[in-house]
Amino acid sequence: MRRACRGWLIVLSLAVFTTGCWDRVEIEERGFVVGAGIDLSHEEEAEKGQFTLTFQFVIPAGLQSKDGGGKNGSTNAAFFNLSSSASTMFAAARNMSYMTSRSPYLQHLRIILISQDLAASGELATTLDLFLRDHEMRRATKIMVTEGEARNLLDMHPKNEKLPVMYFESASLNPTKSSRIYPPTNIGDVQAYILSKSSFVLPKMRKRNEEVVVSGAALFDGSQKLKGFLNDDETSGLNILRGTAQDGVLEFRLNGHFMAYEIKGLRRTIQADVSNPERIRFNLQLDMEGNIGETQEPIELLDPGQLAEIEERIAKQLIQLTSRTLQKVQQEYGVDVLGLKEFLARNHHGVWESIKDDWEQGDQLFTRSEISVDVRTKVRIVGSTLETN
Amino acid sequence: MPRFLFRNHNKRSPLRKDGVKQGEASSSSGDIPGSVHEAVANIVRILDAPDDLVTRFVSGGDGIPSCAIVCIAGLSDLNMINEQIVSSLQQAFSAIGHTEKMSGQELYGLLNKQFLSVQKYKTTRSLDDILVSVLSGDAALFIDGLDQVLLIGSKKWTGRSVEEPQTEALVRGPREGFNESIETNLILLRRAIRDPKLRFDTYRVGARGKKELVIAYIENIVHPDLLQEVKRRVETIDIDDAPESGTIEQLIQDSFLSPFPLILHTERPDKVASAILQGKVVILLDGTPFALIMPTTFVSLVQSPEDYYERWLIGSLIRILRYIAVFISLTFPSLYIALVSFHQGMIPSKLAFSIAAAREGVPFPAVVEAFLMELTLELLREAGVRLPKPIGQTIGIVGGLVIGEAAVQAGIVSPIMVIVVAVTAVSSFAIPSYSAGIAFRILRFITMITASMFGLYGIILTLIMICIHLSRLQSFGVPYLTPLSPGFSRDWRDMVIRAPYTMLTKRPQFMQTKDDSRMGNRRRGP
Amino acid sequence: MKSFEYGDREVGTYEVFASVANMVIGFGVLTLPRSIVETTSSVDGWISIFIGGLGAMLFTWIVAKLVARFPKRNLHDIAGAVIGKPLAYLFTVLFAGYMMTFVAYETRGVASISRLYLFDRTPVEVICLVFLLVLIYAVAGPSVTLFRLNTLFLPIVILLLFVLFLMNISFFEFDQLMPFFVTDWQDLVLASKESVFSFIGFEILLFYNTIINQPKKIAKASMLGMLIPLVVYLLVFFFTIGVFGPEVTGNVLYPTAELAKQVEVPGGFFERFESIFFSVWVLTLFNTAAMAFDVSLLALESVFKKAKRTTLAFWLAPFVFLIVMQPQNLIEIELFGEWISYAGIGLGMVFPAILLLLAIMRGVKGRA
Repeated sequence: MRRACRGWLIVLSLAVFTTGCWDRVEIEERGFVVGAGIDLSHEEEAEKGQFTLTFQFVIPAGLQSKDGGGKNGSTNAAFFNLSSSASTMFAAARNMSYMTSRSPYLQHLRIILISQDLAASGELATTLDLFLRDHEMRRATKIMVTEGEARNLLDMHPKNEKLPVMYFESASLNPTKSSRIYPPTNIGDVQAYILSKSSFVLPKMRKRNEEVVVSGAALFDGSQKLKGFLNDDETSGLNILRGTAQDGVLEFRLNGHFMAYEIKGLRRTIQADVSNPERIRFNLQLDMEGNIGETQEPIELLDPGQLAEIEERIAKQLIQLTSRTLQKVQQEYGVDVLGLKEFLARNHHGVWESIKDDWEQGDQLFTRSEISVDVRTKVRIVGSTLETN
Repeated sequence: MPRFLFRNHNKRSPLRKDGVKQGEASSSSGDIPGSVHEAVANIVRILDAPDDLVTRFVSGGDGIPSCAIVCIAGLSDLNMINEQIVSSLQQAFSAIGHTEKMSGQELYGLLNKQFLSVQKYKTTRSLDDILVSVLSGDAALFIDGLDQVLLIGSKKWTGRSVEEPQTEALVRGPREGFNESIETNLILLRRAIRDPKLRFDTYRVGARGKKELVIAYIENIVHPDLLQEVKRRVETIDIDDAPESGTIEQLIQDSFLSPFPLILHTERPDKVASAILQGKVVILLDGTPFALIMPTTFVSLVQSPEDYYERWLIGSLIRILRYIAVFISLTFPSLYIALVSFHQGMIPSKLAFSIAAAREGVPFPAVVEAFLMELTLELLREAGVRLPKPIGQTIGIVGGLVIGEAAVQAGIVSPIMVIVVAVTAVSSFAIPSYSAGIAFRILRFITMITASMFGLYGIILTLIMICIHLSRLQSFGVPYLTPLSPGFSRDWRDMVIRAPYTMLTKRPQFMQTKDDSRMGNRRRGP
Repeated sequence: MKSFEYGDREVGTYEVFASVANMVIGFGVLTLPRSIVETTSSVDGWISIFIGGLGAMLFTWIVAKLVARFPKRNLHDIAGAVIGKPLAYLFTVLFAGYMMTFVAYETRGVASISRLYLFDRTPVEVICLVFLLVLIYAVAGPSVTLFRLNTLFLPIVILLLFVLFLMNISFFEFDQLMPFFVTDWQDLVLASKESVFSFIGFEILLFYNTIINQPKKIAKASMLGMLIPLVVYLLVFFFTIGVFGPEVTGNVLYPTAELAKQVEVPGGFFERFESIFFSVWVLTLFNTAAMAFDVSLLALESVFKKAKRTTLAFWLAPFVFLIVMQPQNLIEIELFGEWISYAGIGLGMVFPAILLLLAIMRGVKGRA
């Protein structure tokens, strides 16, 4: 009996072992996709489907080779792009398999670029579904909006990186140095926005000459439709209003000379007066500290009066910067990307429950609410020299 | 009540204990004929009069019983026999002078009391004892008319001196190692532990080999059930000869199907001494430098005496390093296989691209690649061990560098595979116990196979199976994974880390020792 | 009495503690946050988990008291003494069947998440078959092995969760947790039913009583054991809500695994922490399944006294395999889990409580 069982077990294990390896695909047989671009189809493409999906594949050997190492000259490319059109992303992705010897492998997807036109058509959620549903995807994949066609951007050759996608990625991580770049938003965040029907912001990229510039922001409303763009300064204002600008530069004039103020820390506190739900009054308190980065004017930086003046100037400059953003966000587009909605939902839950349908839609209470900004700035370090000229 | 569920040993023949305690007389009688000449002739006949058999008769004249000495030339110290036994006999004879008849018993009494100046001897009536003793180098003294034979210790043969252990080199620690002579080994042990309760129980194993086997322990530390179990198992050994303690190990271990060593072997007296002081039992066998320590736990495979000689922080860190080595040695190639042929997404993007680039043009899947390299490495290791030392090193260099480099150049394997194999090899040599290292190597190949079929899932299931196996194992009634599971939180101080000595005031809890305090008993009597 | 004797084949309090904890933490925790969030709003679900946990602990206490009353007896003997032999047979067989379906459920759970996170084409049948083979290997030995395995794996699992939480701290937004106390108490109670399902597993004590060597300490050890899953569930819940917010939590299949997916390991040694997470999670699922398998074997052994353990295991395995293959999709798997939970509440909570009540009323006691 026991022996029979053992025999049975051995046969079974052998059967499993000899037929194993369903999922084995060697690493060099994978076509690593690092970036994806989604456009609306044009002309003859449109017959196959409304979306055009572009994948950027890595050529590992090309990535590895040192400059000038390629003997044939042409084999040195580190990437190639393929585009395919279909009505669903899934079909488009599958179509790629016919076009390359190595089937697309999406686990290393770092960035998804959405073209402006597609974003404006309101199909963002539809196109991102594949990337959320498929287990191969990671939640940290970043999403950006491009001015113009996404595939054009994927085709550029960056100067200091071999892969355009790596270039975009590291450039988008620069908000630590510049407040003009909206912090990267990953697909997981976007899913949260889509599910909660909130408006949101995505960083924007555009091609300028042969360079790619990551700056500015794209505003989306609750139905994932692109409402408009913010330019560099407005993005900077948005970052400050949201309290996410932990770093950045502020130029201002003092006595006809320029000075640069380096933002080193920012804290935002919101206060709301909900006594009248029809016209909620918000007060955004911004506490900012930073350094004097550069001064073109010989001023006495150790003089408290002088410093106070500088601080005042900075505050003024900030108010100016943010009011433009506020105007655009609140009045022109009517999208609450400042986090006021979340604030209300958390701190004034009762009121929020009663007005939530009329916040951005319906009565547009957001547009009608009153938002004031108070700024307090501190200059911490004035630099290691007092005077240079 | 302690309960045992040990492997059933009773199919083997009942006990065979030929050991004779020093100074005691064997009870069997009638083997020794009264006449010296007859007795000696009997011995000569049994041994078929070999050339190296020395027989010497000493007769004291009328009335005095004559004596005979039998020994083997190469095994016994003939000078000592001449100078001490023969001369003391002659002294005795001259002192007695010409008397009337004297019986053998009287002469023995006289010799015993006054004249015999040898250090150790014992008496026996059994012919078997005489033969074994003579064949192990003792001298047998026959006295006419006495029904006993004196077996006088005169062993002396050329052997290795005490040298540094070859397989367990330490940076810091005693340089002495056991050698092939059990006398020397016992002396080394005595020198390490001068405890009056240190016990050496002598057995003889092997129906033909008749090797001396000593069970060493400290009587008022060791758990009596453990000692009893060791003795019981040793007594069940029924084999013609045990050439090495490895034979003993395999005959008395709990499970012969396991790849893991259930009994630790060592040639370091300090390691043995510390094991004995922990309440463990040690078996020493004549003819081999390797002592057996039992019970053995998984944790002790990764420990080295050096952990205790260095300061605790260093000892702990090195020990943690060894645990990492165990893990690497077990799973590194299989993780490589799983990551490279199944879960490429788990590799960081840039590394994934460089692995992909490196594997470009390699004709085999990662499994075959890994197996090729691992097999080559095992061959190199085996060849290096067998060859004489200087050549062995050359083989290592030639194999490691040349074959690896050439294989990469030829595009048979990827450079990353070479790194993986090299790291694995290095870490498998970092495991102090050689036999444990081999166990992990075997399991590494199994993990590689399962990884090639199910990727990470296969690896994790294999690891689970290894864990099940380990938690099922026992070594002399002690679960193999103690003190991890069953958990003994007190013993965790000396498991992955080696806590400072001030915290190690007790002997291991899982050994259930009679006297469990290592420190703080200076005033306590013996 | 010492907790360990030389050459011991019994389990002490620490093993009981670890095994109860490990048995309870199973497949349920992966889906728990979602099923709670479905009926409660915001972060209030923690109250439901808390209520569910307390309820489960109460029943754990009842089970522990029951078995402590009958030292070294299993459910079959206890029920035999309290409600008579025929009913005892019936309930023991039912219990065995329940535990077998539990094994099947956990196995299926392993298969479905490994399909999701590790494999693409490997058939579910094969994943389950391999898992079952390892299970058979585990239960072929003495039960003590499984307890030791638990003490071995529990720290690893807790460490893993700890690492998971630690790496998610940077994503954790305290704001997501607000507002508090906005759910109806009816919804809370309704959701606590869901959480009770995740606390099932402590009933293994009913059979492992025979090898526990300190009956008096069972109650304390198993209650502490239940505390671990309670704390783990609460932390998991807080973290999934704090990281994803209630909306996303309610909309992903396995929120807990998604936490792992979120992580990017610093230093970039491993990307995709979720594969590691899943691999280690197999440990707990394995333990849960192995203990359940073992208990069902013990139950059958106490009914069919002559049958050999390994033989039983071999004959049971095909049945378990057939049960594993029954659910066709995720909805059916969840439904399957729900049935098992009801069976668990019946056999693991209500039945022992009735037994204890009857035993106290009739004054039946067991001898050591």
